[in-house]
Amino acid sequence: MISFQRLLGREDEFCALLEASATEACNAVDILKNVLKRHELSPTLHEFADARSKDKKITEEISERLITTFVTPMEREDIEALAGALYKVPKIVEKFAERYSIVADQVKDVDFSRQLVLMEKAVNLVLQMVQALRAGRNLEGIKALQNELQACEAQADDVLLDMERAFYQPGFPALKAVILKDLFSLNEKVVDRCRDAGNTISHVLLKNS
Amino acid sequence: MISLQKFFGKDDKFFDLLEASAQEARHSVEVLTKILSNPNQTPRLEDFHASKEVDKRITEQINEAIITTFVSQLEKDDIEVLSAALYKIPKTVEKIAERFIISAPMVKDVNFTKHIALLNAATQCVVDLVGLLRFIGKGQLDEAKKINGKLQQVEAEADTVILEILKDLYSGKHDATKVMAMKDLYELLEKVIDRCRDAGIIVTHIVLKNS
Repeated sequence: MISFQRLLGREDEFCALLEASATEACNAVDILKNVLKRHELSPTLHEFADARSKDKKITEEISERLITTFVTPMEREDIEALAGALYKVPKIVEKFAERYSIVADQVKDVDFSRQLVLMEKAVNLVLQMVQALRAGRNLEGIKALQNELQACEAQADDVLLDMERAFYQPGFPALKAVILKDLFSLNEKVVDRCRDAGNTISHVLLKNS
Repeated sequence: MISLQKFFGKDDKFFDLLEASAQEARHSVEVLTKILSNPNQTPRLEDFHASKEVDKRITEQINEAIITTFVSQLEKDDIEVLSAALYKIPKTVEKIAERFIISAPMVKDVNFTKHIALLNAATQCVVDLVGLLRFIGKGQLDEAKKINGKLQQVEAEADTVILEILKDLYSGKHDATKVMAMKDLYELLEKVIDRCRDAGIIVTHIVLKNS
């Protein structure tokens, strides 16, 4: 069936912008991966700021287009919610990088690899979901990706709990516990933001299927 | 082209209510900044609670008016979202006061000058932005973007300030309990500015939609 809303609503333009936004989120996690792998003691924050600000511009462009476009491929509120959810990913990655940069020396012995794997997996799943949305709204395919994303988020919760266990052991330095609690919860938030974006995509698709 | 929405919604009470809500948010921040300027004095929670309650009543009035008003110049969804965003400002301020009281011995020597300036600037921007809504559709977009730009700048400064503060708190010079208490308090102060930023984005969006 031909949908006039999709035909007239410049679906590809909006989806391309959403995909660019999801790609920016992947870039932000990639930069973080390099910083943490190299155990950089004074990481430069401008790369994170660039990724976030590129994403902000994309989000603003989506918002302006939503106002100036007469017919949109999906409901305006849904596109806006998805753009907002995607933007939050590089934003929270940047926040983690800022916090990490001020305590890098104190946490140089800490291994973030478990969280990194999950963050990377989550942003890539979001990107795949946005690409699937652009490719043709395959409900089954997107549902499968969402399930994977939910499982990833549950794993991130488990990892956080596991890592925090050490803080409550007698003798663990209190200040280090405060610092690490802050950093670990920001790691988890990255995956949470991806989960939120994934939920929004599924919701949009379900409504339009 | 004549817009019936604009024609019938001329004497909109929503403008008065939204402006009152923004003023109440500003008032709560004024009470807070007085306390921050003199951290030796323990604040009275009632002052903050009263301000939040006034704003809550305004928000309720807005929600009732949304249901009972047939035509408004602004979209009902926009009014609802903005009033909720404005209400969050005094709500967060009250939370700060609560934390301030319980951590009183640790905050008595702290200098909050930077925060006071940022809080004042942010809430003033919100009041100015909400004031523009009354003249919506009369070329207010540039002005809204200008004020919103200033607000975003204030928010970015607040982020920088908190990072500097955390750097000091995490340096190992302070007792861990103090670090925890102060971190909590500073993050709430930053949240007030974030709430102002959120309200600013919503107003700018409304102005853009109606321009």
